[in-house]
Amino acid sequence: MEKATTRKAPARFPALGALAAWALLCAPASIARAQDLGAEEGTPAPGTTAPEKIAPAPKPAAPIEPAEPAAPAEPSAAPAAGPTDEAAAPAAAPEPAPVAPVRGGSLDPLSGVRLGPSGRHQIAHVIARRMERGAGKHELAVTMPVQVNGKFTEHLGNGLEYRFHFREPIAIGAGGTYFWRGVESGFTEDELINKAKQQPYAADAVLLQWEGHAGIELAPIYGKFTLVDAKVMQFGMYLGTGIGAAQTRVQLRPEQASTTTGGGHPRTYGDTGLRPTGYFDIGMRLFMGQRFALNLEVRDFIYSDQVTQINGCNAQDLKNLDAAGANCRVKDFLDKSADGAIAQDLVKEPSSSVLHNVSFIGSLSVLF
Amino acid sequence: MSSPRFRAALLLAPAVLLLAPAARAADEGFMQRPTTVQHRRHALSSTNELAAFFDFSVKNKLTEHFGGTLVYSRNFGEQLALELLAGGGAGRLTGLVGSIRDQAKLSSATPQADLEDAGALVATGQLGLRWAPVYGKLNLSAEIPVHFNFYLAAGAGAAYVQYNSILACKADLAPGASKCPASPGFQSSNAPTMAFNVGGGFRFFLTESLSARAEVRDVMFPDKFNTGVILKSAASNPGTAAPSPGITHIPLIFLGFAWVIH
Repeated sequence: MEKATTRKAPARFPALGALAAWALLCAPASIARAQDLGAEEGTPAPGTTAPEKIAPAPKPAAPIEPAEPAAPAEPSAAPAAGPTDEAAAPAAAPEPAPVAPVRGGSLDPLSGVRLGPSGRHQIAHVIARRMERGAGKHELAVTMPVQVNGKFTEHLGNGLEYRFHFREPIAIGAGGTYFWRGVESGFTEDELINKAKQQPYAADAVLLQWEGHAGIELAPIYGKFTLVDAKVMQFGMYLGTGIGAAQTRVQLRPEQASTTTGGGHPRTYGDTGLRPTGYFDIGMRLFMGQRFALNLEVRDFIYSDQVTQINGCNAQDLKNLDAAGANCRVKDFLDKSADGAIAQDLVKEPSSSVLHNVSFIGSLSVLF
Repeated sequence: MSSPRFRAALLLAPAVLLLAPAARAADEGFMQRPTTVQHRRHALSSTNELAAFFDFSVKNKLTEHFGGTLVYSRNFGEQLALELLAGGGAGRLTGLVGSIRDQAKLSSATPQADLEDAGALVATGQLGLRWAPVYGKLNLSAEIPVHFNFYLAAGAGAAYVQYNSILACKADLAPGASKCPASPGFQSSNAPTMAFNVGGGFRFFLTESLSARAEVRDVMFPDKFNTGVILKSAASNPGTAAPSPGITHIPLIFLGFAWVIH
C-alpha cells in the first residue's frame, strides 16, 4: 500500500503540483518587483541616514531577474516598476546572449543603452505608477471663477465643465459659466466715478453675463506631494485653450440705496451683444481617489468688444429714444431718461478693446 | 494519501496561491500607495538660506512697482523657517493717473476727497515666518524629475512709502486755470509706516544648494489720503487726513533664486 501511495501521489495532483511550483516561482518574483517599486521611495534624504540609491534585490533561489544595481549617475531615476520593466520578466524566460560588461552594468551593443546584469533593457520611471488614471474617463466639474485682474470690472460666477480624457495627457471638453456678479469694480464706482467724475471707456469695462466654450487640454506634467508629511496626493498640471462665445453688457448706473429724498435703484445694465471669446488656462488637478479631483487653475478669457450699440440702440437712436429705430429696445432701459443719457455718452465715442479677464477657477470634479 | 510531503504541499499551495496574487496586486500598484515623496531628497533642516528676487506688481490701478528683494532665512526644520526680507525699487504712478489728472475738473471749489490707494512702495523690511507643508515631485516630459515644495509666508515690519495725491496740486491754481502746472506738480510726501505681507510660493530644487523660487506676496501698509480738499486752492485748503483710510494692498510676484548654505 505504501508503495502504491507513493506512486499515486504525484499522479493524482499533477495540476496542484504545477500550480504550486508556478506560484512559488511567481510570488518571490512579484515580491521582488514590489520591493523595487518602493526602492526609490524608501530612500532617505542625503544627510539624514543613507544615500539615495537602489539596493539590488537579493537574488532568490528561483531564477528571476533582480533589480539593476544602483545607478550612480542619476539616483532620482529610480526604477519604479512599470509595465515595460523587464525586471519582472517571467522566470522561465531565456537569458539573452551575454554582452560586454561595463562599469555600472553592461551596454546593449546595438543601442548603447545600459542593460541590467542579465543583459535585458531596464526602463527607469521617474514617478511611480499613477494611481489615479484619467484615460478613457469622463469628467464633470462644478467651477467657480473669480476675476483676479479686475481694474474696472469684477466677475464672480459658477459654471459646469465637461471633459473627456481620451488619452492620459489629452482631453477635450466644453463648458459654460454664468456670472452672477459682473459689475464695475469698487475702484471704478467709488474712485473714478464718485471722486474723479470720470469713467472708463465702455469697451474697457464690458462685463460678461455668461459664456460658453469648447477646447482642448494637455497635461504633460504629473507628480505627487506630501501634505505635512502625512498624506500623499497625486496631481497633474495641464494647459488648455479653446474658443467660445459670451453675452456681454455694460453697466450704466451703480446701485443706489433709497434715501429720504429719493428712491434708490439697482445697478442698471445695457446689452452689448454676443461676442466671440477665446481662452488659455493653466491648472493643477489634485486627485482625491479614483473618482474625485480638485482643480485649481488660472484662465485668461480674451474677448474683443466694440461698443457702438447698447440695447440695440446706436448713437442716433439714443439722441432721441422716442423716435428710435425698430432695433432699439427702449423697454430694456430701466430708466429711459437716466440710463439713455448714460448710454448715449458711452456710444458717443465708439470704443473697442481686447479685454483679458484673468480668473482664478476652483472646481470640484467627478470622474466616471 | 497523507505523506508528509503531500501535507506540506497541501498547506503550502493555498498560501502561495494567496501570496502570489497579493504580491502581483501590490506590484500592479493597487494595494501599495506610491511613496516617492515621503522621503525628501533635498533637506533644508538647520540650514541658512539667502534668496534674491526680482519683483513686480500685478494689479496696477493707480500705482505700479518693480524692484528687487533679498530674503535671508533660517530653516529650523523641513517646514518652518524664519525669514528676514528687505526690498526696494521703483514705485510709481500708472498712466491711468495721468489720464485722470488730465480730465479732472481741478478748478472745482467743492470740497472733495482725494483718491485712495495712491501710495507707492519705495522700500520695505520685514521679519516673518515661512511654512512649507507641501513637498512633492513632478516629472517633466516623463523623464525629468523636479522636486519642489510649496510654502506660505507672512511677516511684519516697516515700509517707506511715497503717498501721492491724485487730484491736489502743490500750489493753488491761477484764476481761470484748470490744469495743475508741471512744476511744482501734485502733492506727495514720503513717510515710513508699518507694513505686513502674506503670500505663498513654490520652490523648485535645482541642486542640493540652489533653488528657483516663485511666489506671490501681498504687501500691505496703511493708506493715507485727504478729504475735504478744495482742488482749485489745494495748497491753501488741503483738507484733512481721512480718519479711516484703510489698507493699501500691493500684490507682488517674486521670481528668484535661493542659495541654501548647508
